[in-house]
Amino acid sequence: MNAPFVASFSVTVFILMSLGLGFFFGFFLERAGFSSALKLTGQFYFRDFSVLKVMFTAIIVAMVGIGYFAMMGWLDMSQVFVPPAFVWPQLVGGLLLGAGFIVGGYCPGTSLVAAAVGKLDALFFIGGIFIGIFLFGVTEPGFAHFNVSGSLGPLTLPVWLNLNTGIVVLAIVVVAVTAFWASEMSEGPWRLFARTYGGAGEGEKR
Amino acid sequence: MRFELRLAGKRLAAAVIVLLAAVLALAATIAKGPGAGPLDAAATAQAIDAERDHVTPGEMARWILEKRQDYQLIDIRPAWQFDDYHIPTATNVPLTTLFAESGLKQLSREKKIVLYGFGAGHAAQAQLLLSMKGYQAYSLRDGIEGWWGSIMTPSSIRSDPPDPTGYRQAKQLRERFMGSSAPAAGTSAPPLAVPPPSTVIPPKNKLKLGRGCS
Repeated sequence: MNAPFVASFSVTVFILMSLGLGFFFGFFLERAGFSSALKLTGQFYFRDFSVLKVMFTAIIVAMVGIGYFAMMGWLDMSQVFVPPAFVWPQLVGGLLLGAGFIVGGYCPGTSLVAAAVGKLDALFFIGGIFIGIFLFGVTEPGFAHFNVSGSLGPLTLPVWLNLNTGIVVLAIVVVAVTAFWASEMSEGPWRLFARTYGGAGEGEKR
Repeated sequence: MRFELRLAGKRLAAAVIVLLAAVLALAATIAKGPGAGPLDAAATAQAIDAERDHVTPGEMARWILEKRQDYQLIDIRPAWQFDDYHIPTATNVPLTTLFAESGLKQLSREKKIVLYGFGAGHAAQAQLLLSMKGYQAYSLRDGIEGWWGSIMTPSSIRSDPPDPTGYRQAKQLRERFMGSSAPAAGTSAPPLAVPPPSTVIPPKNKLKLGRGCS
């Protein structure tokens, strides 16, 4: 067992698996209601915490699952690709993506889901993605230096905090469950608070 | 009523995932305790054959320039040799103390441990021992000789000069490390020709051997 188990499959099987995984990823995003820009952007106005709950659930389930796979020796974590951290460009890029999310109503993945169920605004959004990619490609040499600033290499939380991986996983799961609880509270008992400070309440006509 | 049931389901799911994570954390803490894990000899032999057990000087140089935080570079030579010259970012843990409590205490189980000695031998042996203890251990290919030969030696006097692109890259790397890690006092000599004065650094003609095994 010396590769993350992808290597033990043929390319065809690998592509078929990717197709299947992609299909179900899209399917469950749709089932979560993520083909609706209104539902998605509700997160930013603290009206609807579905985005936080669905995404954070996916993260902790995958994280715990990978933890067990690694523990059982089915997955060699040292062979898993960790994207390198570039602090400054990733900070700016994250802010840009968030701003685009609020203005456009989708993130890249959910825009494809929405397009798949026939939402016209999603098609415009996807057009915007490609224009953005093109503009980035053309102008990138102008800020190439910035693009590699704050390089930390492939950094993971356990390495950064110098803690045991299992402890970090447990801490993130606890944070997630607390966040779920707090968001359910704000959608329910605390709706008055949310309505006062976070715009219109859920289900309220605007 | 239905709302109640759904809530129970969510609470159950939350409890299950917290429990699973707690078991994982506990298992990880126990597994990474002081005991030595069994080492799969066949898998280790494969890793050695595929050269996954070491880091090349070029990779090491890139990691240092990228200021990566996910590795620990450990110099296993005696302290006086380390003081003479060492690779930037390295920590000195002499081989004789590496497996003592004071030595192991300095190693992180979450990071790649890259060992180097003068040549390749001692570091490779220590690397195997560390792997058996469950560390992500690597050795630097050909040790300080390899580092000197492929990073610090001007391309023009190497026996196997790199191609034009590689030449430029090699030149850049050499200048970066000559600038940042030249030994402190009394060595204002031009770095192009003269290696830092040291009994550790082998004579130039030996360096030309490049990747020869030592």
